[in-house]
Amino acid sequence: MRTIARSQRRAAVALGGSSALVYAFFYLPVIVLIVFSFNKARTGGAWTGFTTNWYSLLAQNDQIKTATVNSVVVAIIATSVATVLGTMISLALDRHTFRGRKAAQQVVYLPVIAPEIVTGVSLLAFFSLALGRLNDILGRGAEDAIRLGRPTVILTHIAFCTAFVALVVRASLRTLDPAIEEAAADLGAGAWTTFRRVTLPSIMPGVLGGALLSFTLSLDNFVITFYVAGPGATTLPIEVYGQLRRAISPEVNAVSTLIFAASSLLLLSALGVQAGVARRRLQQVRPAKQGPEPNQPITDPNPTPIPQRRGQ
Amino acid sequence: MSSPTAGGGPVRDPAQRGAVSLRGVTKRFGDTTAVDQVDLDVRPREFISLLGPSGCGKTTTLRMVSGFERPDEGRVIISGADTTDVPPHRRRVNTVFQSYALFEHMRVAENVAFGLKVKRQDRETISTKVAQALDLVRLGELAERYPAQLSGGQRQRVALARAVVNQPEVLLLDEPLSALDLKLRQAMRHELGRLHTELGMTFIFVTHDQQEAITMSDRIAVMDQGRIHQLGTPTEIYERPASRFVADFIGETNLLDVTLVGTEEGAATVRTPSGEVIGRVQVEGARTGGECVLAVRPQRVVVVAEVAPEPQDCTLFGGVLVDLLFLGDATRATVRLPDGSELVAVRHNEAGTHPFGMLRPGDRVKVGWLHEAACLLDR
Amino acid sequence: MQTAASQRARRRRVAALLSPGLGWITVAYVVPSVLVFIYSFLTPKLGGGVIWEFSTETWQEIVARGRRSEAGWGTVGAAALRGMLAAAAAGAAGAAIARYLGRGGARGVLRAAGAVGALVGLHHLAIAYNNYSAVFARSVVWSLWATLICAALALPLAVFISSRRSPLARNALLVAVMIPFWTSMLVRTYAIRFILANTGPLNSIIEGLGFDRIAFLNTRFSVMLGLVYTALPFMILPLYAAVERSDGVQLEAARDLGARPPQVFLEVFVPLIRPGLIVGSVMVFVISVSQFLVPALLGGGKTNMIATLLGLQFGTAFNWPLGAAIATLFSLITLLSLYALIGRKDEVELL
Repeated sequence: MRTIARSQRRAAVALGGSSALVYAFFYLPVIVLIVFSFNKARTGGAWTGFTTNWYSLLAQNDQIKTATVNSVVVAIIATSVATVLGTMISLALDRHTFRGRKAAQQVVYLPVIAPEIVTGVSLLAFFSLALGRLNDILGRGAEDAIRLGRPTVILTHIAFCTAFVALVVRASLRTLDPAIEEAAADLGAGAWTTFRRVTLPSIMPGVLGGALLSFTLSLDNFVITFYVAGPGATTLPIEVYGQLRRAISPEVNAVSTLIFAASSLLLLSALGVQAGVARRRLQQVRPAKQGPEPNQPITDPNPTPIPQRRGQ
Repeated sequence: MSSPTAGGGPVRDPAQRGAVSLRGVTKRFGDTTAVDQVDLDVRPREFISLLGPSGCGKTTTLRMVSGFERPDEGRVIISGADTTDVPPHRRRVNTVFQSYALFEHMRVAENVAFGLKVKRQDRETISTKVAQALDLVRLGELAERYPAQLSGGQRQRVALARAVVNQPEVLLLDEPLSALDLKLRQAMRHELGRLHTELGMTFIFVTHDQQEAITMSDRIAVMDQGRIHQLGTPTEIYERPASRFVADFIGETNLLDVTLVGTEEGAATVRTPSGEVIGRVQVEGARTGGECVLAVRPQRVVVVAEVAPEPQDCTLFGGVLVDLLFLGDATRATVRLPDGSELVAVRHNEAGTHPFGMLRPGDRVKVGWLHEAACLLDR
Repeated sequence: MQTAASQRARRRRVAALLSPGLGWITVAYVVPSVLVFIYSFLTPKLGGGVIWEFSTETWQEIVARGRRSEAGWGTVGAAALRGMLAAAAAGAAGAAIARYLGRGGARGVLRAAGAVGALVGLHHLAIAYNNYSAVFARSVVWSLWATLICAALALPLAVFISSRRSPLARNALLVAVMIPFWTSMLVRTYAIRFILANTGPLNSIIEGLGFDRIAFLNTRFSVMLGLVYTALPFMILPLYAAVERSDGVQLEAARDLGARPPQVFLEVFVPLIRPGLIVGSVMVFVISVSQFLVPALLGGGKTNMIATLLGLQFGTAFNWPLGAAIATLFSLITLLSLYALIGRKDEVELL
């Protein structure tokens, strides 16, 4: 008659089982995709043998190569600018109180909650109007007009990447004891020195993590980019979308595999840097609690801040 | 899931209502044994404390009574019925949790009503009982507040009301006072005593605070490393600690390493490291010489000037007063013995007089204790 | 003590820190929304763009006409009737649950039943009314279903992860959720499309077993699968954070007071993790309702969700004012649902 033990075990099995199913649901499609990127057959869902042929073909595909270069250039520029701007915003929001702070916070959340399709078409409308006026002012005609292209893509990516970096850095600023900045000031450091010598090194994991995540975000963005890119600035996701709309081909599987691997790697390195934040937090002295019995599992009451990301 | 009433098991003897028996109960977590072969009989309507340092297994013991832990070995018998395998929600036992565990999304009255609601009592009964329980803990006016709007002491009372409203046969209290400040803690001690008398249910009280245990309990079980070291009334525990651990844990105690010289009629003669031979030391059971520890409470230690006449019923030996510390209501004297060990004496300060007379640190004094005040323990 | 001068300096510093980044986000996100609202009152230009001439034509089209001729009063009445039936069914189910839980709360049950009934009624009305309302209604209802399914799948997982004792196992399991959360939505949607394709791996297994191929793609099933697949991590992570933060002792207290497991779940656990549930639901709903890739790749690209309809106006259909009007309506719905679901209090905690 082990009622407690049995019902607990049953609950644990049910939990574990359903969780395993969810993980399978997450990974099975991707794994199948990766496996089939090495499949010999050009069409069909049957396995006919191993080949790396599709990857070699990919290396010769000029469109894919151009698009990849495009994506990386955009991501590097957007991330660099966004990391600086985002860190600045997070500093202002976390270290100062001022009128309109709430409104500022909500503006930072806008890129996170606004539906991407709306952002995309709105920016298309906005850039068309702005560029039209610009061309009028500069007196450019139809041939030499400034059109949608790489600059508009970069400007757009800067906007959402900045918001994103601000959120991630803010999470790591929150774990930072403001007293250490006061201590620096107390020891005679000016505002800039304090920032450079004390604050920045402390939040560096957050800044780097935010930068890596915004890099991924920029590389992966499809919907917004689709509308602001114009014909000249095709990025990798747009190129891939175009190809897979036309036909399912093993090359698309191969390029998808590469994208998946690249963003997984980027995420893991971002988490790796951020683990520094968690480690530091664990080292902070915790208030001694009365009588913790050995049966209570020790859990971190504040799990590492989870970066949120908007989907397409 | 037949009835919400307790416990399964065989026919229940009404006289056993509220009794709790642990029979050889053991609980392990991984490699550590949190509770080790504990036997304990709690009498109906008794106020018993499980006292010990953190990690001693007292909370785990409590959780086996409430049903949140299942013993790896042994049985838990509540009100005469074997309850070892009954899940918590079907035991007629309620807990006041250390953190209170109030439902933050419910009002005070809803918190208190929860146990009755899930047992599907009718609405009128519920509101009557809730009102009574809230009156009992003097929180009638705060029924419509949310827990977040209450002070620590008030939250504690809600937790109490929420538990007792179910009229459990046994009320379990897991360090309920530890989150309160000193003043409140003292007030709540009286409150708990009053509740215990009014409700007439068994209280099992877990605490690491020996003062709480001593002032409130009928009996105390002193625990360490998963075992019960001593079970007895507060007086027994205080006056006759059964082990060095108990003596050390309960109140302040002078512990002197001594050698047993001989025993007769329950009194022992010992030799201190500095060579003094002291007689008439209390000793339980027969001992046959060897290294022992002599325990004596500071309140029982006598310190007099070297030239003073020896009081009766006292064995005195020489030492040097090294420190006098004014504690407010008492004064504490530290005397160094020739071998370097120290004895502490504490005296209450009477108005206008100095408890240690004209003694000053550095004075040579005579120190000792009233006969029967010291007892001999294993080292 | 702060002098006026130091306060001014501080204010200048805040402005310097905020203005470049925040300014650009505002220009990129707020200004275009206003512009789009203005565009919805202009005249479409063939081949994209607008002619700056005021017109309410677009809004008339969306609100009053929308090319659905058969929407007579009969259809609308039938829709209302179905709504009432649904409300009654929801009420009966709610009452049964309430009876099982042993709670009086008739008002709560009625309110929930009323909400469900109203939703179903509105849905039928919207489907019957015109093409635009039908697309909006379909997107909303599908997204609600996706939210429900995600919650059902995510909750056990969140509990499972947070019940791991070893921090290493917990982190590994979390990272395993974050990888799909972070990898390109395009790739993940494509993976589903690849597997479900008529000549894909799943169908070749089915054929291998001796059955006929099944047309999985371009069905409600494939779209729903895609919605759940892409949005699920957005439910798991906030739910996990909420479970992790919740005070487990309250669950023990409920059991101690005699609550049976289902009662503990509904009356204590769900309220405890409510913030996470709300944030997760909002994320999943907003992501699903604005899905562009899933209907495009898994739904056959027909006009079956808002984003598709909206995208078409700025692409092949080239009716910018119409697209602008849809975008305005859509933003409004998103903002309203965010506001309704989150309220003011939890919003700070969001994300």
